[in-house]
Amino acid sequence: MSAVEQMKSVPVNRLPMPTYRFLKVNEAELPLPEGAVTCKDPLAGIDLPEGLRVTAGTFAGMEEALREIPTGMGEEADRIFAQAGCPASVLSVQAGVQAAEPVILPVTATVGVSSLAAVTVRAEEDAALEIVIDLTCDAAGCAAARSFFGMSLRILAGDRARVKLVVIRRFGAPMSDLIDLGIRCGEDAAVEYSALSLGVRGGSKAGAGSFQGVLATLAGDRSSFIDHTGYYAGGHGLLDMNIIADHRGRDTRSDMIFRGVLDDHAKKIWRGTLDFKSGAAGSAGNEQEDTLMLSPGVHNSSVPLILCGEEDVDGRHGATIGQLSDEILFYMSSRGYTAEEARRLIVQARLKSVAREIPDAKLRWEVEQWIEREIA
Amino acid sequence: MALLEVNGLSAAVDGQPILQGIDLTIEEGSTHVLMGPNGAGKSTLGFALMGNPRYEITGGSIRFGGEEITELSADKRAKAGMFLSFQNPVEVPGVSLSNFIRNAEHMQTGQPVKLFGFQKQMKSAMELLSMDETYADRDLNVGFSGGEKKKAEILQMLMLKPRLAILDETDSGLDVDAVRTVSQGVRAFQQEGHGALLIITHSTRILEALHVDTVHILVKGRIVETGDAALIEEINARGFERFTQEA
Ligand SMILES: Nc1ncnc2c1ncn2[C@@H]1O[C@H](COP(=O)(O)OP(=O)(O)OP(=O)(O)O)[C@@H](O)[C@H]1O
Ligand SMILES: [Mg+2]
Repeated sequence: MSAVEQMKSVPVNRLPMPTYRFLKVNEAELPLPEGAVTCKDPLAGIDLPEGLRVTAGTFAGMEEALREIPTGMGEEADRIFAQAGCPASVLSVQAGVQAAEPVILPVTATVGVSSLAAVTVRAEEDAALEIVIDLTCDAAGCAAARSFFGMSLRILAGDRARVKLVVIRRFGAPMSDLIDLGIRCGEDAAVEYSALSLGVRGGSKAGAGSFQGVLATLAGDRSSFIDHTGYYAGGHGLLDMNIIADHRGRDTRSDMIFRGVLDDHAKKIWRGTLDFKSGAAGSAGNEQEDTLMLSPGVHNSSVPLILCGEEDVDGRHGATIGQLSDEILFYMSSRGYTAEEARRLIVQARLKSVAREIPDAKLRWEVEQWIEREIA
Repeated sequence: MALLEVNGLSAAVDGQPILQGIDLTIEEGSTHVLMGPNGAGKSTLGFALMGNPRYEITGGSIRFGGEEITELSADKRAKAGMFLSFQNPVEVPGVSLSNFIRNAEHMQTGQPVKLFGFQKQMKSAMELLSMDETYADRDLNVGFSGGEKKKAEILQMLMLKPRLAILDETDSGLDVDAVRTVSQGVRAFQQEGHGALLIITHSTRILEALHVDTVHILVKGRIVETGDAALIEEINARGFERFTQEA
């Protein structure tokens, strides 16, 4: 038996309301890490702007208010972190404090080793904070061994708090990874999330890929959630996403846009749910997908879902699926672009439009350079 | 030596012959006008000259700047100094108008384009074309109105400074003021850039402020008449009847 067949997996990224089973999109099978697992604590020993505090803690012993926040991937993902005995420190911003500068957390995946990292954020009333998590792995080793990496994130945004989280995934080689996020918003709280998933290439092994889940619970009235995601998947990469905006409070808003590029034999499964619970009167949600397919070998599947437990709501879904048409290629070549250059410009432009969300100029520049170097 | 020399050019699209033995000579810096009824093959000629791979060259040759370019790809023709303003400009999602032009300049010259000088030039060209500055940062042609797309084409021409610009019905779909504005842009190109022009048009308004050297009439894939600017008035008055009957 091969290693793949021995590898255990757990169901994650469950669709809130199952559809036909033959579509095989109701959930994903996350292959579990093999062998020993190393935990990292991205919040350990970092410099903090004034008004911010880190409290050490473990994932298993996470305080109730945080643990209760459901995540996009689901409880099975939590179990991985709890069983590994990982730390889960809490970054908190005191009430009324507006962090002067973004908190940047570089996390390096260890090569050939399965590593996990968890970060929880608590923004108290009227607080504001920007966080950037920069996921990389050291190039030389990363290419040599298939590694597993997991990141678990929770955000508790108090009344009128504002949190912006940017996660940059720039692994240069095939990885199995998960990025799991749970958000809970109080009254008038606003959370903005931006994920830039680069270099999802996957190996030849079935099941490898990037699994990502986001669940935003808009509990407080007038709370809002913005998601601006960009991705590139090529090779035999698999990108499996589950994004849920759970509208509970009155007049809540969600606005989510997913811009991506699929190349070679890459496979993407996207589940996007706007869930309007009873009591969410006056709420509106919007989910837009914009996918560029560069090769006939790609597999693109989208499962938009709008659940209405309330009458007075407005849910929208839109999808644009494009190819690099002969028209665009000729138009660009008539201006001096070779087909290769045209393709590169269009692909990179998409990803850079999401990279613009990075609130730190130096890191933004670095990521743009990375895109120019590594993509297409 | 002429800038463009087309000899006996025939072209087909999807196996259907459209152009039949076109002869056309354009001198450096001169302005030619190409007129003809709908479906005559004017856009086809523009595409064939620019090197659209959909248009199969079935005979004849194209020389540009003394070089044989009949087999050259479109990007190489652009680099040699050819430009086509599209009758239907294409949307390029994700790439801003200004980035698109700056990259194109870089592709064509092989030199990095200095941002400061570039932005200054863009600003003045956009002013000349009465284009709102914010369009520089918008995705090229995405959500642009018909008239705005045409202006964006002329903006590219002004920025890229080709030796020969083929304008395929750049004036169609423009309101009265926009035609005047675009016409000013074309005149600036004539005067400052010393570029040659092949203007495909159905109307004469865009030509009013321009000096025209030569007019060609294309009917059913053939140039049936070549003359001076007086031909324009004749067509204005009597249409293409005389030429379609002969053809
Ligand atoms: N892809 C194609 N397949 C088949 N026929 C085509 C194709 N493209 C153009 N044609 C035909 O070629 C002929 C010339 O078309 P072309 O667009 O060059 O005309 P035109 O002179 O530019 O007309 P207009 O003034 O309407 O713009 C037309 O009869 C048109 O139907
Ligand atoms: Mg035409």
